[in-house]
Amino acid sequence: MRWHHGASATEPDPGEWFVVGAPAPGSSASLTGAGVSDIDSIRAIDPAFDAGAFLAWAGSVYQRAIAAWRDRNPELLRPVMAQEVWDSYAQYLLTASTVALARKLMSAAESAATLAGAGADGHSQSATVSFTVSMAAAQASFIDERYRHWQERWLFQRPAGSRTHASGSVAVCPVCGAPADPAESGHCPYCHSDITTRTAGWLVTQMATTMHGAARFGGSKDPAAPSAATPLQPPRA
Amino acid sequence: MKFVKAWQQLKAVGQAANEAATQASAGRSRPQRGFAAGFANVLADALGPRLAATAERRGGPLPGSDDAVADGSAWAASVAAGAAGIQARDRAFDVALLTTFAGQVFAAIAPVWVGADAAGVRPVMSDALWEPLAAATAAHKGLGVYALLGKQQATARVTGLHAGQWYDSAQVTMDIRLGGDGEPLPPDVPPGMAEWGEEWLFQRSVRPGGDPMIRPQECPSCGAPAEVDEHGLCQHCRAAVPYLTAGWLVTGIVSHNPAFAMMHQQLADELRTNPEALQRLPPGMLRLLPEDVQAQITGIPPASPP
Repeated sequence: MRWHHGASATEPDPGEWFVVGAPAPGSSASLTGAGVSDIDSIRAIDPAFDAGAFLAWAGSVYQRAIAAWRDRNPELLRPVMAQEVWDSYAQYLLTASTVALARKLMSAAESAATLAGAGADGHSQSATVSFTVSMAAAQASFIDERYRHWQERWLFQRPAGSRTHASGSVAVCPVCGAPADPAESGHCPYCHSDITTRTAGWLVTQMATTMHGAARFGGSKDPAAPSAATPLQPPRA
Repeated sequence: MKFVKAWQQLKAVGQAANEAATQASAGRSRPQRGFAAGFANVLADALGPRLAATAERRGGPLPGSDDAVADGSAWAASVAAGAAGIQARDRAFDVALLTTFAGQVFAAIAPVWVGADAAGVRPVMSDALWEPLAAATAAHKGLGVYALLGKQQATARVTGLHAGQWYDSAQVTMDIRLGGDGEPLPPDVPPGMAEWGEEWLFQRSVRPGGDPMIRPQECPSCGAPAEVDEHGLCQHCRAAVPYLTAGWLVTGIVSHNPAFAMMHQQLADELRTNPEALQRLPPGMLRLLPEDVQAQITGIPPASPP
């Protein structure tokens, strides 16, 4: 899938984006996103929604991605990604990280997050977070300047009726109430509940990146390639 | 063996580059590493997924599997007896449907070697099998041996069933051939290399869960939060923490592909008769070698699952 939407003069050329996943069925959201002013449509449903806290949490999700590269373990991201996005991301991570240098560079990436858009419709609440990423490792100086920096856009979505926990913070475990940092494992360190999905409910349903090589290793579709339909499981009583 | 020779050549180049770099940086406290040595390490790392994805033994029983499944004694019982055991807790279980499903799984995996999206088979494979397959096929599709693997066709036969404590398990024998009936074989396939058998282990958790597999929140043995060590054992009670699976997954493959066996035997022989080559292999590379090759090199049999 390719980037099809219009872009401002400061954004990468649309052809540079490699996109995986798709907005939730029925949702009108897109990675170009609605204006930030539309965040009010989320607050109308979820008065406790705090854009700043959400952005901080989204940043922690990206830190989790960096930890996944460091540990070569895409499982860390499964709780916060839709299946299609996770499959592609896991495939890319496992492939690219077979090269030790690539793993080292990605493990040292630094990102800055901004809220590029937010809104709600009858099906979903949506928020697009833009990440500006740079390779910070010393070895990165050997890499062409063009490939040391890239942009990513992650579309977070949750069901239309979702509400933030009354604490107003995704960093408080809703099961035991303890302060919790979901950045590492996605689980409360006290009661081990899956706090990421239960507190926030947000999943990355679509992702776009301008990272060099993503299209090659990230599952770009060859129209001539054979298909592999997923077999249906036998019925179970 | 081409691989070992290539490895030796790369290491020689890397060593020469190291020496040259050391001389060029005379007076500095730390000689720089040669680029070629780094490249050799990169190459060795990149070979890992391919070796893992074409090993004679891939994956294995999930943690918590009954001993009878791990040691294969479960398959001595009749299929009918095993089916009755599974039907006792799932009256919808049907051997014929499982056989059809297993054949469909095989038919879906083969095209991945020649470019089909590996995501399509993610829901029917364990992590240990899918991850090296996805890594090996993502960058190199349809080239060399991959093109041959894409031509695999199989007839599935359920040859063993077992209703275990945590999992239903099925051994499915795949009678594999390269190409369809009447289709000429590629000219570079030696005689006797076009047909072989494989045993595929399918497992599903007794209690469904996961997508396609996940550890439970709590250890089923002691009730503590499920924190496991590198062997999949509970850090509190040391019991195996079984996975929850959404349905049947391929969790292990034992291949009798004569080409793989020949290739691995050559590699093992080369390393056994040339200890220096073995010494030159970095620990990371040795770890990436298939378990059966490691076992032949070290004389230590592959570890049994807990």
